[in-house]
Amino acid sequence: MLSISREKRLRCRLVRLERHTQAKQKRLRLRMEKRRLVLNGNDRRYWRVMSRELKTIWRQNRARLPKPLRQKGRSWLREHLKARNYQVLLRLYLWLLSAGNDYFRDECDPLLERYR
Amino acid sequence: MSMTGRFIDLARRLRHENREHRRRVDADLLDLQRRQTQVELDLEAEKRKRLLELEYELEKIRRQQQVELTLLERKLEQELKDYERYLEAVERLQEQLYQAFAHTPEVIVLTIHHHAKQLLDKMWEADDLNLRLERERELVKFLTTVYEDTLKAQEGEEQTLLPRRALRLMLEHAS
Repeated sequence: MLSISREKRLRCRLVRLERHTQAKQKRLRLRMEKRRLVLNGNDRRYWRVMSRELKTIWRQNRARLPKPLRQKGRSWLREHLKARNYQVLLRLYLWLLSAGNDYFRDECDPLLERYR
Repeated sequence: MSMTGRFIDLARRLRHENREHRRRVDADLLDLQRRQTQVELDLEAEKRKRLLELEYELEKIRRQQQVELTLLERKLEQELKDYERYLEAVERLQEQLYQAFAHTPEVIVLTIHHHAKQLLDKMWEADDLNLRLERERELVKFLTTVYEDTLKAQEGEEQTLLPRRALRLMLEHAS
């Protein structure tokens, strides 16, 4: 007479198979995500350049900024650099560029019209 | 008939009846045993059948899952290739910006490149198909705008210092 344990063993195998497949799918997705991040690279160079250029142009043209922006100070700048808020930093850079450079004023002013 | 004769006759009749009774009972017992054995055999056959079905189901599920895993791997590989192509397009865009806007500060070119990569990553991370399509449209619109700015700068007679439309789009995204 066949024992009931063989049926039980088969059912356990079924459950293990499902768990094993889910684990394999998860590992596959993680591997692909890792490969994607390697392809993407890191943005260290961008943030180095952004930080350096922004601090330089701030030092050079801070006095020519509108009062509200000038009063914010370097800590505000550091805060946004830390938060990697590149869109705010871009706006600030354009302000500083417009303030310090006649050639760029005509280009930057229409862009920043909304933010005066 | 004498008393002895009657007694012997009675004993003979009782033995006969007893034999008949035992013959009937034995027949019933045999029949019961036969039916019991048949039931056990049927039960065993049923169990074997169930086990075979279970093993067949298991094998079927195992193959199905193997096929699904292979399809998933192919799908993810293809998605990664698509991602790589988008990334190459963004890199090419950066080169075009450097060529078309030679006097533009490097920060602006890098920020445009960074923004394009952010849009690409946002698109990639979207789980919902509609959201993904919407973000893809956003990315394509941005890349097209930048490309048009570079074309205009290369064709234009006067020197354009900044990719204005691309910058406007970026500043609008932020607000």
